[in-house]
Amino acid sequence: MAVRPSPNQSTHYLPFWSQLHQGVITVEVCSSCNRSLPYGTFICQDHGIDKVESHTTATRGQLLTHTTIEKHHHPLLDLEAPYSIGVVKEDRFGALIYCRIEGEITDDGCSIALSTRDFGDGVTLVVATPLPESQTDTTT
Amino acid sequence: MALAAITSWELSKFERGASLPFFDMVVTSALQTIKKSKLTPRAIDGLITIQSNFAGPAFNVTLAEILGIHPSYSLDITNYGASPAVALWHAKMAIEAKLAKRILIVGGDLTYQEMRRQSQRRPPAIAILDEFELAYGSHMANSDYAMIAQLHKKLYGTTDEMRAKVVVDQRKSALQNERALFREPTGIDDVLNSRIVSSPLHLLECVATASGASSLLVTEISEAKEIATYGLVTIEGFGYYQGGFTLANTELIQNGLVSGVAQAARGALEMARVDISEVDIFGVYDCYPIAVMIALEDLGLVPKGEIGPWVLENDLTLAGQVPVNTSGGQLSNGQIGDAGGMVNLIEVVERLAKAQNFDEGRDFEVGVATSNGGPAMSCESVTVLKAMN
Ligand SMILES: [Zn+2]
Repeated sequence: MAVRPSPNQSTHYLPFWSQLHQGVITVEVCSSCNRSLPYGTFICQDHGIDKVESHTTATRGQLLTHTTIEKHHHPLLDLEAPYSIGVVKEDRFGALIYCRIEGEITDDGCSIALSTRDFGDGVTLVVATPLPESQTDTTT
Repeated sequence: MALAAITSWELSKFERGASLPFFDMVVTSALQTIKKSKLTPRAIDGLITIQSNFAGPAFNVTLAEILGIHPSYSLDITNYGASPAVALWHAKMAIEAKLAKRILIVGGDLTYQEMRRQSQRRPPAIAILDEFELAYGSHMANSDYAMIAQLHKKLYGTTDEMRAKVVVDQRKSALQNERALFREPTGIDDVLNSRIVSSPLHLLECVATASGASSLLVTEISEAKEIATYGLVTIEGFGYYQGGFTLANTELIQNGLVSGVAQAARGALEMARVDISEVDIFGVYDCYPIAVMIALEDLGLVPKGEIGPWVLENDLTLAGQVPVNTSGGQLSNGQIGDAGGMVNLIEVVERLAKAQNFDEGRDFEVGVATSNGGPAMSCESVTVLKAMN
């Protein structure tokens, strides 16, 4: 079964999607400046391409914003709305991750557990689950 | 001293369907603009098209062929929603560089339903969006602007009612505009009672896609004085900033919602030697009211985060101190793909030129038009226009 979503931006992201399929969320990081690169690029604006390496992200983060889509047919999954998506800032590198949200959001800015989920048919996506307040003191 | 001016323009009546095939619609608009300047197609030596999903690549070449013209300056502009403003600036620069004398800007598109009906075609995929957003079931701009509105609410307490007020004022302005697609009196409750598309955005906050065409002619100033029907409008300043394209990559999601309009505005106003307080009329790209609100903050009219209360207190129609989108904007006229911003640009041009039905007996001397391209305020522009005395 081919890994989906299949990278079409650049083959550089093939390992990212393969790792995601194995349950590991990675991000490209420039080891010269220790900054994570936005998803889609693999070039540090200050140090070029040579020192860019894949690293595993934290499994925790903070929700920046989200929305619940009320009427739309999901293009990859046989899934009708409503469903929620959002942007999470993960704790290790501060990488911003666009993700699916599962669970009730009590507050924008709440702590999030980051994981992956195999939706079947080769599709694996990043899933963010809001954490109850008692679990928000975290180390990564 | 300006060397180029806007001499004529045309916006077709936008439709939810399409009563003409695409190229008939676009060519009709182009011919009307040429005719309004008392010229014939042969006189056009420059053509700039605005990227169109239906026309596909090299729209400029196809359209030149249909118009039967052989321009010495020809471009297709592909900056998404910012394309009309980028096209206008390129027209001015090309005339100043003596690359052409009469440059026609043309844009138009069909709704996705019409596109499928007329050609079985689908809008082209955007690789990075496909991979990192659409795979998650993103509703493109609807869900990205929803998350921007949600963040504005969280950071600054901007309520649904505040956003709705922008729609209400623009719909009020549209009552005077015969071209408008939506001309019903609209109250805050109408907006808030319309269904949620992507929380917190309501249906009446989302621009309606439409089929339509628009064109605009820029010529050398000496000729413009002879051929223009209304007052001349000159292009005095321009600024552009292209930020991250996907929502997670935009700077605004981490910087307190400062969009690229802020940087574009600084450049455009400085170039035009205009202070924002001197601007009489605004055409602000209005795919969603939250986009208008962020742009008004970033233009420097209102401090960041304070636009919500400001909108409730101020009248955005011609009766107010800061008139914004005074023929109803795209929220009332519809959005013709990436040429949607022609509405905001032409609204300002019509007021400055004191065009027929748009002469309020008031002197508007300086106008500003903004535009947003991409699903999340990525391709941002600010244009400063002046009425020539
Ligand atoms: Zn670096």
